[in-house]
Order: sequence, then structure tokens, then C-alpha cells
Amino acid sequence: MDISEEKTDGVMAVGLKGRLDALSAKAVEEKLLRMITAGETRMVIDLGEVGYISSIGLRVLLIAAKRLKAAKGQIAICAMQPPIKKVFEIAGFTALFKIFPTREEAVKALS
Amino acid sequence: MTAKKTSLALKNDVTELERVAVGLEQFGSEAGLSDEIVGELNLCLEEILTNIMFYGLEEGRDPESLAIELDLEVADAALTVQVRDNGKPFNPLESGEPDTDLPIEEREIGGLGIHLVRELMEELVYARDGDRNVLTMKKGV
Repeated sequence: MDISEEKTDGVMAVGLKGRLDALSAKAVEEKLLRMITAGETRMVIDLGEVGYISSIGLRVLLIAAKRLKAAKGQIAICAMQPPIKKVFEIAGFTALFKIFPTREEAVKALS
Repeated sequence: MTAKKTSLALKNDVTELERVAVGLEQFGSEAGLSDEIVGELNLCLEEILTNIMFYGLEEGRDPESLAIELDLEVADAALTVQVRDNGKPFNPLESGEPDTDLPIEEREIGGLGIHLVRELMEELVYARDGDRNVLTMKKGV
């Protein structure tokens, strides 16, 4: 799992590349929580290059969302591939997150 | 889609999930399964296998003694998956941890993973067979 970051207008966009599963979840969770602890309150998680997400991956996103909410911050997900979007829908996550087709739109909405 | 069968023997180690992912891709390609079905199957198996590995052993038992077997078959427009393990009597569709001990994220996710399996697979049957747990899942393909 490769993790990239890009800050624009006070919004931190985190790009994930690879599988978000039991093997990569911990590293992603630690990275996201470190960012939130360091003061990021507006985050966009770009899933454009994530081809697989399991329930453990969903848990990481849920934890980040709750942590940001507690800090009165905002989170958005963008660029989900169709199979990822399907898992989100079955999991009921589309109701929990702001979702955008592109990073640009997500960043704009949060800035 | 072609009739196809394969088996995988897994150790009690989360890194075996990598081997499962590769094995599923290969099987899917040979059996003519769509990428979407392979991904969904992988998701279901990850959930079930991690439940077995985390919660399926009796206290004090040598973790290396837990063995898991995976059988996959595609025939007559159906995918059948059987997961067999020699752990304690345990249905991996039931999360092993009591709800009240878990923080809210774990509780939600524990139920979530199993919810995904139930939504993605069409038939789910658990049985205890001698000293084995046997979980059989089926989905039309």
C-alpha cells in the first residue's frame, strides 16, 4: 500500500494505492491518525487507486471519520472504483461519508 | 465459464491472505470468473479466515496446530467454496468476541464484515463434522 499526501487550501488529500485489507490496514490507520493528531481537520481520502477493500479497511476509514468528527473536522472520500463503491453501499457507508467522483471536487467542497 | 476445482491449505498466519488473493486470481482466470466476483469472494474469505485465525482456537492450544483448508469449485453456473478448519467448535460467521467488550468501531465492524459476507454470498451453511468446522458458501456465477 502506497500512501501519498497533498495539501491544498487547508485540505489534506491522502492518496491510497493498492489493497486496503487486513495486511495494510494498520499502516494506513496509523498514518491517518498521526495526521489528525498533528492537526489536520479537513481530509480527503482518494481511493482512485484502491482496487480492493475489506471490512478491516472500512474500519480504518470509520475510525478516521470518528476521530475527525470528534475534532470538529470533516472527511470526504473520492474517486471510488465501482467494486469499492459497491462494498461501501452494502456496508451502508455511503450515508456516513461525503463522497465525490474526483479529488478536485472533494477538496473544493471541504475548503 | 469452465468447470474448475482447486484447493489451498493454509497455516494460521494472516500473511496467508496474500497467497489466498493470488490463488483466487489464478482460479478466477482459469474458471472464467469476472474480476468483480473474484474481488467479492476474496472479501468474504478474508473475513472468514481472519475470524477463524483470531477467534477459532481454544485457550492454551498451540497456534501452529490450527490448519485451514479451502476448496473452490465452479460448476453448473455456481461457485462453491468450502472452508474447513480444525479449531474449536466455532462458526466463523459469528464474531468470536462478545459485543460488550469491544469499542464501538470493533462492534460495528465485526457485524459489518459478516453482513458483507451474507449480502455477497447466496447460500451459507455451517456444520461441525467430527473435529472440523465446515463452512460452505455458494454463489451463482
